[in-house]
Amino acid sequence: MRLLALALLIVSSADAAVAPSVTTFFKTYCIDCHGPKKQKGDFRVDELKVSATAADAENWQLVLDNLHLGEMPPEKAKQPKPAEVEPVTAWIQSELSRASSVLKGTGGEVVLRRLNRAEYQNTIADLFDVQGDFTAGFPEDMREHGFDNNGAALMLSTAQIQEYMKAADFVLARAIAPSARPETKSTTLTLHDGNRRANELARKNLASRLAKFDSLTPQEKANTRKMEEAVKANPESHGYRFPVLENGTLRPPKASDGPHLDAVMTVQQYFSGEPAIGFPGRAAGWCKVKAVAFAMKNDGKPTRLKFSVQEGFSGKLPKAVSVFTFTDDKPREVEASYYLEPGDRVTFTMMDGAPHSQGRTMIDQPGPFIGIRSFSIEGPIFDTWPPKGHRTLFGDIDPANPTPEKAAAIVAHLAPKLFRRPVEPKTVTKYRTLFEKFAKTMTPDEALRGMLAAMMVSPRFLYHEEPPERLDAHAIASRMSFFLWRSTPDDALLAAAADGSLLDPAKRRAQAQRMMADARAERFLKDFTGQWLRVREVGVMRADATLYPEYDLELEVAMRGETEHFITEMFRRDLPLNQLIDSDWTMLNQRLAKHYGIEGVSGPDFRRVSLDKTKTVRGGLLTQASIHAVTSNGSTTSPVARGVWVLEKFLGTPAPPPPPDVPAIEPDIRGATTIKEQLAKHRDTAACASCHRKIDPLGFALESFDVIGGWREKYRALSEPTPKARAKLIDGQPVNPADEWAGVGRFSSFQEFRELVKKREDLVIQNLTHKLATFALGRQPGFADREPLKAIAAKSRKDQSGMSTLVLDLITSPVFTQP
Amino acid sequence: MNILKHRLIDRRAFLRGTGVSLALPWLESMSSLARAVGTAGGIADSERPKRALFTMWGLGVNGRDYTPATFGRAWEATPILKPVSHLRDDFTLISGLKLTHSGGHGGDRTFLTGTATHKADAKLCISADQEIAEAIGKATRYPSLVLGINRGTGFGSGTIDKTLAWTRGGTPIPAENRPHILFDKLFRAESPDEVAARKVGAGRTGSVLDAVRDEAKSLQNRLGKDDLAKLEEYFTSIRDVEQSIATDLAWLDKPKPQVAPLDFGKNVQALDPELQNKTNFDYRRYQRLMFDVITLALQTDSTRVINYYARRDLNDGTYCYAYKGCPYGYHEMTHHGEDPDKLKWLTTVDTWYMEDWAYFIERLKSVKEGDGTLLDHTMLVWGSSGGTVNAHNNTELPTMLVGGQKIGIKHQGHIAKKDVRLGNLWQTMFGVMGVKVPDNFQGGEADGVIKEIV
Repeated sequence: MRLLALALLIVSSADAAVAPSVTTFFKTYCIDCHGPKKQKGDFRVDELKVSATAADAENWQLVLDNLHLGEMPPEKAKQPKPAEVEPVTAWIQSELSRASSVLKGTGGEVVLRRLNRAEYQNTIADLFDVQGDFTAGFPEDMREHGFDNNGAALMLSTAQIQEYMKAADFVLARAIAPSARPETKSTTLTLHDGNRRANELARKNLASRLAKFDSLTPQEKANTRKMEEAVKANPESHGYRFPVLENGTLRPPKASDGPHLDAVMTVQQYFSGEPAIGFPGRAAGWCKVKAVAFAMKNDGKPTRLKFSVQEGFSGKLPKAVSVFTFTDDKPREVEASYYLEPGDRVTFTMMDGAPHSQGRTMIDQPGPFIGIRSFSIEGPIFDTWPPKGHRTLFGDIDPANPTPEKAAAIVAHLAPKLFRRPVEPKTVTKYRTLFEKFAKTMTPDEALRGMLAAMMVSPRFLYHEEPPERLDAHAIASRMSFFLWRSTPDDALLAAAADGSLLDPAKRRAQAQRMMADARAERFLKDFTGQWLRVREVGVMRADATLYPEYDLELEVAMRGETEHFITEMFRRDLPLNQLIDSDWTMLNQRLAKHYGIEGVSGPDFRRVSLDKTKTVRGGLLTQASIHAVTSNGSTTSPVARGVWVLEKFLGTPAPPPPPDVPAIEPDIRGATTIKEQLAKHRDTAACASCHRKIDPLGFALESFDVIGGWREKYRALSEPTPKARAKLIDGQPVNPADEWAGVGRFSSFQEFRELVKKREDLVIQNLTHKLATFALGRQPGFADREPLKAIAAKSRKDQSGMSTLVLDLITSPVFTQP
Repeated sequence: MNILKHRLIDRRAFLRGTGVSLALPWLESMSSLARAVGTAGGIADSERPKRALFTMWGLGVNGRDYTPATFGRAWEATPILKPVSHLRDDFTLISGLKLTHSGGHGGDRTFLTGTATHKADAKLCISADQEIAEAIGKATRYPSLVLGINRGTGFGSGTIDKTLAWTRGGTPIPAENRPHILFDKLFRAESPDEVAARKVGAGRTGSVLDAVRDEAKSLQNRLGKDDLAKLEEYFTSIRDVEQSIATDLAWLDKPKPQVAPLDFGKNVQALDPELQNKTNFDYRRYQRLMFDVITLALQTDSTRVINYYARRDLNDGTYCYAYKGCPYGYHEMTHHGEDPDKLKWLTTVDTWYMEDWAYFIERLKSVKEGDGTLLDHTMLVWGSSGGTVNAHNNTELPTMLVGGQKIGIKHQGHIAKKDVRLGNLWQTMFGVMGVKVPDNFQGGEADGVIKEIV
């Protein structure tokens, strides 16, 4: 009777005749588990409706996908013959095509989306050239479908509105230029300056100690006497800080000292306080920081100098860091530009070599050192005056002594840039009225700022305004720029919107090519890669220092760097996408190359390195340490987490979520059992088996990579500690990566698995296409987008083209201009 | 219907918790203060307020050395519970509670909302503390205080929040983590100039909001139906800001309660966990100062609802007593893999956390209120979304309810509530607070009260 009910349901709710073969098929193969009796996976075929709604279409699509992939019926169940499956899939396919033409666009998914934090910050930087942590207090942006720019997930809250108001004031305070151009100042610090300054301080310190000598503690008295002696012995040194003579030593030069001992300051990992240079100006702005430096006593090894921008003496993480490498003793000028606020300091540290011991002459210590002839800082530097932000706000209008007319002119100038589309006269009037209202109780300047602040919390600034039926040229411009630049359109793009040329796919393509060549496209690559592959989470679960003593911050940064640079290289050179699976090159720097056991890479910069595939397993995303790190908990790897990563992030065929109430595995790193043995129990349980058979093998394939991406034959384990000794690292059980990928094949090693993945190149490319579309549209692609996206992916595969072609094809496809 | 749906899944998230601590013999002045502050919020004996404080201890505790083997009032003290054993009449240990959706590393978001909020397709829900604040918050200057060991809401990683508080719209409320800043907010009297400036600022904000509301209205005409629902968030947020300005203005001319100053030391940077590091952060001093300020906030009736994410273990937010010699991060120890050294330290730091919590209980107990103490009129609860050591599960959650005996709590020592939802404890507390249990409470993850304790 149940079966009859099923047939009736399908027929009665259909607006098309259901082929009898389909009904029969469901009755024979599906309904036992997905019907009234059982609802495995919370899915019932007897509730499937034939209608043109997105939800129904999605469900039919799932049935189709599962039949196509051969995942259903499950292995142990009665299997249909291909001749039985074929008419069913053909019927579903044709029904879906029909539905697809009805279901254009979003299928009801929310499309109104606000700028997320990164987009807001980039937009402010591009419009007003203001940098800072004004978004630090913004509530977190939620992620959906793997990305944090999804319209439905981007909520707006009270706290957020309040933060927008604060941010507007912050930005305006910096963007509006003072009436007179601030003087650009420059400070240079040489060894002698530093020394003089240090000696001066030491002298004052000594004098003040002597003045209150009687009140000092005995220890302090002793120290003070010692200082006094030191000064007597060497009036230049004061025993402190930079204990050097004019020639760079505490003693007359020796032949073995090497060159440049005149005016050399060595920066070391100093015991307290590195050389630092303060912000020279009074107004925030761009500053140029330079050092003339060289390596000393380094035996030809790279020696690194670091500039860090510190917010005063706050002890906070640096706002910005630059690293320069020196290998020889030829003085070289290096420079970096930073946006500095009053109170900021730039400090200089050496990243290699031993800490300096107090009271010793640096030059007499073993190297390596960095020798510094001078540091300098210059700023604030303005490329133009008035500066960029001021011109964005006011154009050629002088904002001094604003009147209502002037305010209206400013709105007419600013609003199209800020709101990313032309505005009607009534908008201008609205803000002018606001100015007039403010002017009753405030000074004209304050009233103008109040008006501008209101424009910056307007929904027209904070949200992407897209017409409901079809995107107009301005909405397309915004979509392009927030996709490729993660920011607001520039003047050229707005012009292409204004003349309608963005509606023409060929012209859109040309604009997109221009944008991809622009430096701002780096933001897209980094943001997309970080979220798609989750590599921005590297470091969230730090590796256990006992099990992985070789792990350090530099490695952590390098892991993320490899994947970001790898995707950038794939994109910039449009390399065939099968190289995501395996490649004979990767992007390395010295630290990561060492980690991988690859020789001949020196220095902190990433570069493309050809791989000798007979010697290394590396090549392709699946071998990258960043991926192994984000799928580990810091002490152990989880084949489940990794399998899920491969399914979701790499193949685009996610497994269903785990049922509630199921405990996680409790790993035991004493080495008694392997994860494989533990998970086997899991897979023997019927409730878990159907999904874990799909998930686990893909994770086991990656078991040969440890928590930090190193290759392993055996697990690391810890010995039993004794009262005297902590636990030590020992070899644990051997790793067993062998398994079977259902429907694709068996493998006994990671390398064999990777060969199998090459057979499913289609899934990898389709997945990337889908992920790019999700990121570009700010929503999950709708049902109707599915076929066009498949076609784009198929073309990419056929042409062996790469990621930039994929991006261009996406931008010129109708999918891109659907709401 | 979503088994096969192609959705991103945050697979088994984990837990997080709340922390605690305690004890400078600071306010002997407290009792004399009590009179001064007791009236500051205008509390008459007859309308003695009921308060609730929710706190989460990141990844929980080492259950092996925490959970007593015996039940009832005479439970046998375990190493971790020893520091609070002498206070046993003031609390109930509830063992066995569970969260249905998530737990583990990502359980912070589920802790007070009941919902699977780290899942990509989850609709984010209001947290229990904010629902109480909506109901009773108007009575106090601050409807609630949202605190944490880290400041803000958390951003970027998707697995780590800094707050446990969520608005009705499903957005996180930023947490404050600096005791001196909190003290300032609660008690520093504003000068007439400051008050005047705030009034002008409120006027300006009001006008800005009027203008942008107008913009949003004209935008309405140009958007599709589904977009309008989204734009509603904008209108709601504006209304909420206006309301909070109105609340602010309403209290602006009422003086803040006067209390004796706390000694935050000369170097207040030392009290900002964001500015400190493992080696120098004196967590105990920090934590006890936080508890001191919280005590004053409750005592002066500045708020009746507090949400405190006291330990954010996944990111080593407290630095886990590194300055007292613990060589590991807390998270690292929970994945001890049976390493005995880690297990030893895990119990040691759990015991230290419990000492700090004991300080807090004693502080509240030391404040006389009516014929009882401040503790008797305040429910403190600490819990965790992680119940197992060496993995983070969402069952067997360690939970402790403290205080509230004069407002209806009957302590029972140690009780077993295996497989009962954590939401049922919140529901129990709603009853005590006299707040109606809202519709769809905890997204359905509460189905009764814990009868033994009321």
